Amino acid sequence: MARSDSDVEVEVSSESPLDKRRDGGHIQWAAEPMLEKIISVVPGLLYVFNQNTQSNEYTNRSLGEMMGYTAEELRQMRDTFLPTVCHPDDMARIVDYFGQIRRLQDGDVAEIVYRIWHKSGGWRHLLSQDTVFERAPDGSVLRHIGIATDITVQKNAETALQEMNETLSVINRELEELTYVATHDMKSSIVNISGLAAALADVVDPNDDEAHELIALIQRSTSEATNTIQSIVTIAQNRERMETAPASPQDLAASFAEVQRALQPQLDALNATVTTHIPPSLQVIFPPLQLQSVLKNLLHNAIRYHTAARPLVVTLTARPAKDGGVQVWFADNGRGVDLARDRERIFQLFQRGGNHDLEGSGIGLYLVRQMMRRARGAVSVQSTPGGGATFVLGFSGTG
Amino acid sequence: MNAPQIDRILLIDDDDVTAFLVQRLVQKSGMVGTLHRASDGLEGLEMLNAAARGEAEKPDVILLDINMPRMTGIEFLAAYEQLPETTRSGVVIVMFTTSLLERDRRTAEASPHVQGFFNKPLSREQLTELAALTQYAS
Repeated sequence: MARSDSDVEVEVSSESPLDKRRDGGHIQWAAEPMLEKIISVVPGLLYVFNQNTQSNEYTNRSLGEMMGYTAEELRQMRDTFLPTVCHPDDMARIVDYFGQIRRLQDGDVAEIVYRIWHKSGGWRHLLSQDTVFERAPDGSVLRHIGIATDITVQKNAETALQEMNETLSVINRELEELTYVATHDMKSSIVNISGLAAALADVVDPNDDEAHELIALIQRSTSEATNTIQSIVTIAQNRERMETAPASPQDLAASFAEVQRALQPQLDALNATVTTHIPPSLQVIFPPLQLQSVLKNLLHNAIRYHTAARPLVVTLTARPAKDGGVQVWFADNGRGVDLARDRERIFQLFQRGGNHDLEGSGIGLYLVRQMMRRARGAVSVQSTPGGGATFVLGFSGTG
Repeated sequence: MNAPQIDRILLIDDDDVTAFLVQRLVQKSGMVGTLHRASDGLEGLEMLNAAARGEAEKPDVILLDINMPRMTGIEFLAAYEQLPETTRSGVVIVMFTTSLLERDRRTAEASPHVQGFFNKPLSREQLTELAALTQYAS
């Protein structure tokens, strides 16, 4: 980094790409014309620092002026410039950083971010990147060259983003708590209503058909409400698990085989055929339990929405994607999806495609999309009505 | 009527309707000798301490709700841990809740004193299970 703006007379080796010139009583280093052009367009501060004299031998512009100080103010501060304007918490790191520069190997680049007080008020964040420019005969670093860039805008954006993330985390925790309290309290009330309805059924006249029918309707309604609450809890828990479960490389074929084994009795009952085309050892980056959940939901979906017109056939095809991820096509020959109506609907909470003649909670595909998105992936559907559906999973290369 | 299979149950639950429904099932089943009720964990602890002093009978089973005012079921378990061994011996604790959250179940099951996790409402099958647990405990 640029320690000060003072220009000091020094001897330089003849190999230096910079020329020495006398200007206003100080020796400065003038660049070759082309180099000078390049230097003039470099944003921030370019400097050559001499370790022996502990001062800059060349700077393309003044750090002090960049920070809004007048020449007179800089003259008065001179050697105390840096301690005066640098953030006190950063000074010790800067001293360490100079030691680090002295230990640099040729070609290595050291960097540091520190804060300088701008005269107009407020800290400016500077990023300095330094590398060895010239060594002394004993091999020690004689000069280093560096660039100091004002990254305040970027730092402020990072800080704002971090603050926003923290705010969102707080909101998320509050929503989770709300979900917990709401589901618990609703479930308590519903369980009580259900229990009271059962108690009522015990005491009303056994021959009062209307009363028993009404009680049965209460029981059905409480059962539906309980299922809805259970679905909400499942979603909340899935979210919580995704947050805590780390993604790691998973063998896709092995994961799917496990899911298939779990659902084999239902597949056998439908005389279903399941075929996979997965390159050996193909891995996806995903939390293991969530990967199985995604595949299980899709296979379960294929089983539920099979058509009686033909035996169920499920085909899973996977290929490495160009972006380092994996693309998976999960195809069935079931009822298919009316894309004009249901392309997005089927992935929405408590929404189901088709004519709702089958039992379903309406959260399976919602969970699939939620899990894929959490792992920076995507899911979409292709289909022709009556001709089956193909769910396309795009697994990210990083998970 | 057959002899009760469980002598004494202590229900620790703040919900009156739950208490009513448990009381009703206990009466109808004839499987339980006496049912006492504490409205929260603190009252439950006081009843256990009273039993330790010989001022009340020690329960064979504690049906423990989780979400309660003053002292939750989870807090009760921590306090229960501090009771003398003689107060705790022969007592079966079963969590009794509407909570659907895994984390509640995990927390409760982490306690060495919890021997079951029942979802409300209480059923005859659960009473039978409780009777088996008390026999195993004795």
